[in-house]
Amino acid sequence: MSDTTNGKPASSASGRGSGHGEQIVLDGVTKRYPRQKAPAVDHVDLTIPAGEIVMLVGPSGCGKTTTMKMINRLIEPTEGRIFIGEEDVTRKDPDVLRRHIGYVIQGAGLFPHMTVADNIALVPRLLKWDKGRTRERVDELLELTNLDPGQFRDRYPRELSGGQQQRVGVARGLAADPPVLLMDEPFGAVDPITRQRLQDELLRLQEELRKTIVFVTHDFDEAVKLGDRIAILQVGSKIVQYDTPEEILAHPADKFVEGFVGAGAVLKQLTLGRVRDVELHEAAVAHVGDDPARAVDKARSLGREHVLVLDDQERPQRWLALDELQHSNALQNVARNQDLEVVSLASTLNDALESMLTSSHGVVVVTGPRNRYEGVVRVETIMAAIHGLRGPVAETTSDDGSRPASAAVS
Amino acid sequence: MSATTALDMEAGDKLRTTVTTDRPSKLRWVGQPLVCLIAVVGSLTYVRLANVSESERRSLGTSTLLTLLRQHLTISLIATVLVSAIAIPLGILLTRGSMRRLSKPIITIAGFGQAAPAIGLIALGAAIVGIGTTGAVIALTVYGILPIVANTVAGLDGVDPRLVEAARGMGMSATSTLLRVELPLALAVIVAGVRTALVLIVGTAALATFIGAGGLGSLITTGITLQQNVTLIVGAILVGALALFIDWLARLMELVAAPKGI
Repeated sequence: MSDTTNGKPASSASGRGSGHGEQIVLDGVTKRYPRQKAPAVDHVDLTIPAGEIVMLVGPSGCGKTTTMKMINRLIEPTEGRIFIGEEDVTRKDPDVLRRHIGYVIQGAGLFPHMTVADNIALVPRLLKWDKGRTRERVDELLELTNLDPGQFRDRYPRELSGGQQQRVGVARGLAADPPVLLMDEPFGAVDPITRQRLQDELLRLQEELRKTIVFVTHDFDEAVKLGDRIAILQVGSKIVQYDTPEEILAHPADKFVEGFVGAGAVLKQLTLGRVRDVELHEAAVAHVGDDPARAVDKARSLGREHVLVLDDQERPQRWLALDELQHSNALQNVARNQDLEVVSLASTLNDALESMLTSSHGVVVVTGPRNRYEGVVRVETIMAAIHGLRGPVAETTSDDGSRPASAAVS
Repeated sequence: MSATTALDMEAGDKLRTTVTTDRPSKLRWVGQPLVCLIAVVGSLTYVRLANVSESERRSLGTSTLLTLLRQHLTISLIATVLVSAIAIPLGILLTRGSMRRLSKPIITIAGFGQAAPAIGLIALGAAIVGIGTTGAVIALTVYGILPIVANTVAGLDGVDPRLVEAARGMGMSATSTLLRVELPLALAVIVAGVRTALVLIVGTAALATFIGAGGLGSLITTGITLQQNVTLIVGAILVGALALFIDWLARLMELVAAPKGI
């Protein structure tokens, strides 16, 4: 069965694999406000490659949000041109332009008087999609952002947790399958654990969608974790350094960037390593309903003191100590421990280390797609990774730091 | 004990001075219409049963009462519709762009309408367009502008600016943002303003009789001029009960009209 939509982009309704990102070019973009001497944004030139996540980082008031909002012209540039793909967007009707640029803001910005489905369907409706297509798209996006459509479609935003609202916010931004997504500190208002999960989910989404994402944050760690490239901005939106996270960590351009990178550049490099890149270990596992005696034997043979209990879909439920497995019905009805620390394959080594430190276990459980158990990461593995990182960075950090990086190179 | 009473009174005063959209208690939902009903039925039964003079009975005859009620409601409703049609768009206008800086002075001027004695406004209405319903309607319209303009401005200003920006950022036009985001979110406060105006107008319409526009206030003037005490008191009770009942009805509408999810 071939896709025979006449002339229309083949599967833009499904959104997957079709609406890849487009390049964004900022050419001498300037914003001056009346009665202010210094421009808020001063001649910014920036090329954002298609399909990449570019992080705009800088101190508050540096103009990073202003720069981003000029891309969808919520703020009109005073000078300069902005291209998305081949098109000069400064000459386009702003309302039409914005319908083709996803926009995700802090605290999700969901409309409280509309259901989750209506919030997500907003842009498709502005674009006059037919009802069936819109409905399908809403369900697809809810699934994509790990929300059960049947459960969440008809709820109102206030009935959702902060993390769930933010997921809906991302779904809404992606609704009309725009090539470009602007994200303005989207995960700034949620707790650290939820933030880490949302970041992981964004990375997972991005692997599939390959949008061009401009992401504003003041959190350098977030920038290192999410960014394919990072632009570090100073007041006036002056770009101090624009490079990959690896390069910025290893060779900060000047004192300002060094200050921003902060201490512990080695530890920050842990943010570059992913759990999937290191060797996972096997925990002693048992399934709900298994015979506890056999689970104990198995754990003893592996030399373990704890057993990880999985449910029938291989999802980790909780750790049980061996003496908790004395009763013959110890593995009946094992309730899921809500506080069980879990990281995903896309999580950073830094997240894994943090989870270990919070849970005070020497290991953390790793899950893959659909939250299925994949293995565990041990603290030793992370130590080894730190050891491996220390080598290349040592050159720059052993410099007393007072000399600019360029001097060290020459 | 006395301290808590004082505190309660203080809280009560605060509630009365600000226009609130609080959910009324059960007492209010059931008690308020019940009080109205008892007052009306009680006073009318008294007129039928007690030793009341023939002239008073005539002043309080069913057909007379219905006519006066109709006049009263007609004047009030026309004034309320008019004032809504003027004040809501005015309030919206005062929150748009460069008009915003006019909002303070205009609300102050609208405040004059309210600060002026109602009887003076009604006399002024009569002086301008002559004796009769029109003058009364105009005076009452002026009288109701302030709460609606003030609440419309407050309601729209109360909408989270990030939501407005989100709407614009997704490509909704300014008009569509107003109609689909700002007004629904401000609706509760705006409707509370309309209710306040409506109740004010229904109460003040009792004065319309002075310029020959009829209404339940006529009972009071008749009572005074002809020294019919029963007519005077029953008239006052009916005016009060009507205002309370309209207030209750308007709150009910408010509840029904409130957007879900907020």
